[in-house]
Amino acid sequence: MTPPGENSRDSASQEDNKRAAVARAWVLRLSSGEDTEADRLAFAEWLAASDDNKRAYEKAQSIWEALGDVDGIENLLLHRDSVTEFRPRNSMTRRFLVGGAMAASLAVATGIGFLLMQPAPTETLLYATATGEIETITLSDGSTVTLGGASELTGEFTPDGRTLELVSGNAYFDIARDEARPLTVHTGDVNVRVLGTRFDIKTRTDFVAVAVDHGHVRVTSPATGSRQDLTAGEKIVSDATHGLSQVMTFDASQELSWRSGRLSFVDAPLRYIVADMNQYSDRPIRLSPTAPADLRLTLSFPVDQIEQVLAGLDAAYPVAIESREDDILITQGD
Amino acid sequence: MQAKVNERDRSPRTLMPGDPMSAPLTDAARQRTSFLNSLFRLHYAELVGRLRKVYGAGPPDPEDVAQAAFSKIAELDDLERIHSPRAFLFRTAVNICLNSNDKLKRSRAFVRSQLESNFSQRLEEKSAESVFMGKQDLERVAHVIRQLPPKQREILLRSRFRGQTYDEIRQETGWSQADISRQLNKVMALLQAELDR
Repeated sequence: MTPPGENSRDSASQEDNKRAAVARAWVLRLSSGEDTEADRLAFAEWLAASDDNKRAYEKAQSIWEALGDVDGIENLLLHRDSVTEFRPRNSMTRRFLVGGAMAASLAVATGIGFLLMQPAPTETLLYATATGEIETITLSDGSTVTLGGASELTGEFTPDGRTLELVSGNAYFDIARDEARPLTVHTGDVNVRVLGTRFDIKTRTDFVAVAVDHGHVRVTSPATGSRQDLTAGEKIVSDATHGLSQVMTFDASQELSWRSGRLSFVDAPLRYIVADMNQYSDRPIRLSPTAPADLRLTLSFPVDQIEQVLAGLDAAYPVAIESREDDILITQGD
Repeated sequence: MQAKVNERDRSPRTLMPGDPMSAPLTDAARQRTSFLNSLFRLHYAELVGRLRKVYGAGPPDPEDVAQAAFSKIAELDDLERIHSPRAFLFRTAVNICLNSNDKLKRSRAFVRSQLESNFSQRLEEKSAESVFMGKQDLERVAHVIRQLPPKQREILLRSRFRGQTYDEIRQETGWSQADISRQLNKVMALLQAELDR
């Protein structure tokens, strides 16, 4: 059944399409260098004729203007090797590999008899974010995980337990309580075991930090045989040489602000800040051997303003920032 | 390693983008200059490199254009509203080149006057960079460009970036003005379709 007014909606949208095409043609005509006095008069008349015309023109012009803002547009338009020259950035490259689907197809292939002898299918998880991307995922048990930029999470859910591994980057876990199926997160050299709670983990090449937002977790370090229970507002760090640190307190508004796209640091060393920036920067930021990597800074900035922050650092601190084709280099400055 | 939060014996030097130096107001001018200098150090060489790809050795001379773009940025009151200096500088530099063609400059000025009389308020608000399209939309624009045939890319480069008139493009490539117009209209339709999706 055609709802009343459907036809008029169709013709209205046709009207809009026509208007948009006219607007685009005007933008191009007025950028052609071939427009005549008569064209300009006709354009002025058309523009003044209706608000819809004005909006359509603004829209078309914004597309034309935006071409200049595309990163690497010069490489895209120089058609030789333009595809390979282009540096892909922040495309939505989240990879999904849902084991549930794999298990289901296995069940079809092997038949019910085989399935009955097996425990319920294992659910395999694999999530990854691109640089600059922050993504919240809902897991099959109702838990949610927010992944920071350039982060990867894998895992397996079975009837007996839930296991996750934070392979890289950082993540905020809001784990649904399930007494029968405790959840363990492996990362670096520590395991974090919980029933149901909210906590944050950041994994780096040289350390792991666990911060508890709500409830409690148990952090163990199998290598050193140490373990520590943490409750809300507490944080611990583990590195390969020292094992688990003392329990610290932390400010959730600073520590967890990355979830809304803001990085905050209080008296943190530059190398630590750079590692976090690299989860969001289009070009990798490198510290040269001469850079003051241990310079301690207190900073707060949105993840899309890293360039601006670096320029500010260059101006205010003894660091020099060099923007290069493929990376941004930080060296000792004056 | 982020230390335990401890506010007692510290005067934190909070650095905010756009308000980069939390220094006393009396230092504002000095800080601004210092900030501009660091922007220059950070972006100048790369900007020249990008412009060289578009214009070759010139004219216009990529170094002259880059310098002119920095002069423009230095005149802005609302530096803090530019959130991507790199993109803003490139846009400014390209606009300087477009304006070096008298015909294009005249038409651009005409369009601006028409829009201003119709949208005075809104254009005022757009002084710095607020008109920039979001990151994801720009990625969609890039996606469309990547799939264009070489001829359309060539025309786009010449018209939108080198600021050549259709007649100049015709003289150098042999393509007719009607063909050039048709190709660009196709490109724009593809872009709008992708963005409206």
